[in-house]
Amino acid sequence: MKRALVVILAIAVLGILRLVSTHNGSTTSTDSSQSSATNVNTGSQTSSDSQSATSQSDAASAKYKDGTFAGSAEDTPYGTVKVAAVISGGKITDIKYLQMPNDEGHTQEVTAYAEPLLKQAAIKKQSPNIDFVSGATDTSFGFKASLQAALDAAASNT
Amino acid sequence: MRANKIIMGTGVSLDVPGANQSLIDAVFTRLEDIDARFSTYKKSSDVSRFKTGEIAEKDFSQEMKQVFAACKSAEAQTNGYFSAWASGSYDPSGYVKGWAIAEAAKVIKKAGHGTYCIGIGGDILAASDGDKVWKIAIEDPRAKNEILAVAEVKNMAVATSGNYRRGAHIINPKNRQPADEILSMTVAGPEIIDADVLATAGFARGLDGLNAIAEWAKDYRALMIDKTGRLFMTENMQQLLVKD
Repeated sequence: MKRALVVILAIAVLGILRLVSTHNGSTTSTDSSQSSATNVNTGSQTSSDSQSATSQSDAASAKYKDGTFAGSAEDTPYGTVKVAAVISGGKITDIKYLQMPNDEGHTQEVTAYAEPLLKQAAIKKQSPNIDFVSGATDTSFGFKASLQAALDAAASNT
Repeated sequence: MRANKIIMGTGVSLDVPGANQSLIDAVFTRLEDIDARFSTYKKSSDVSRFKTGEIAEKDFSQEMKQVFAACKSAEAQTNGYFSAWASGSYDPSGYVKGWAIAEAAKVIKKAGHGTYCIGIGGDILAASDGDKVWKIAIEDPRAKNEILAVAEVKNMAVATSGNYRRGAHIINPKNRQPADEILSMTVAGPEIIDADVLATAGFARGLDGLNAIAEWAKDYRALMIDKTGRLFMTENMQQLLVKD
């Protein structure tokens, strides 16, 4: 089966890049660019080429100070998760795992697969051609909460 | 309006064109309410208190009773491959995720919106009562940053079950072990609750999951990837997906 597109995946469902601190902890944005995307199969898009208003509004709304910001230590049933966000040029360039649940070999195998995907997705820009993503890799209970805290810290320092 | 929030220990995404903040807040509030009652990670939830014996079935709220009964039906519908008792004690989390999406949709529809897309933890419900066509991508679990396929839909529920970290593993109710035969199972169809149940049950069923889903619910479409990375799908799923 051919893959439909090779696109830069930012998991829209997780909306990691939109985790900008607001008073109630949620993020919202107007849908001006999203709902107009009716073109199909316009070829692959890379984040660097993307001219969408979405990415521009992300850059405008996500004012992070450069540096490495540790997130909260999140207790999950499987152990503690703690991540740190690395900000460079005002954008998330890397996410480090400071603490990861890692008990048995089986867990390690799944963790080793799932976490890099989440990490990559958190760094890549959202593809304007995709509205939502269905996947089984939305696994990391503590990851997102810890990352949110890290981004809150990065935003509050500006 | 698009909004994201972490609720129920996972990412919740809403896209409701034309919605205002107060509707978004109402949806999140409903989901937080569901989480407070059903979360197995919150000691104060009704489910947790039931598991410790603090409350009994007779003390159940109307919603608890509804979910409890629905879990029993889902178990019967899937020949036991979906079970809220798979781990040995009552855990309706597998049902609650899809049900929560359906409840969120109720809030949105009640506010007069017929076009919306809701995502919770990788499960999606797309609805359109106008021209809107939602583009739903299905992740490729074999390739870190790639998408398997895109479904262009107006009204569709899409649920995916796959390997999770230990503790969130889907347990095969038949042998009480983590289901291990395939990498992922994606189900698409009219109702999110059913898609969710079928994806979970199909995943637990393993290599025979596609056939099983076709038997359990003819109007649902399924796609699975086995542990060697081979992709299989039902014909009606193939019709749904956008080709290169």
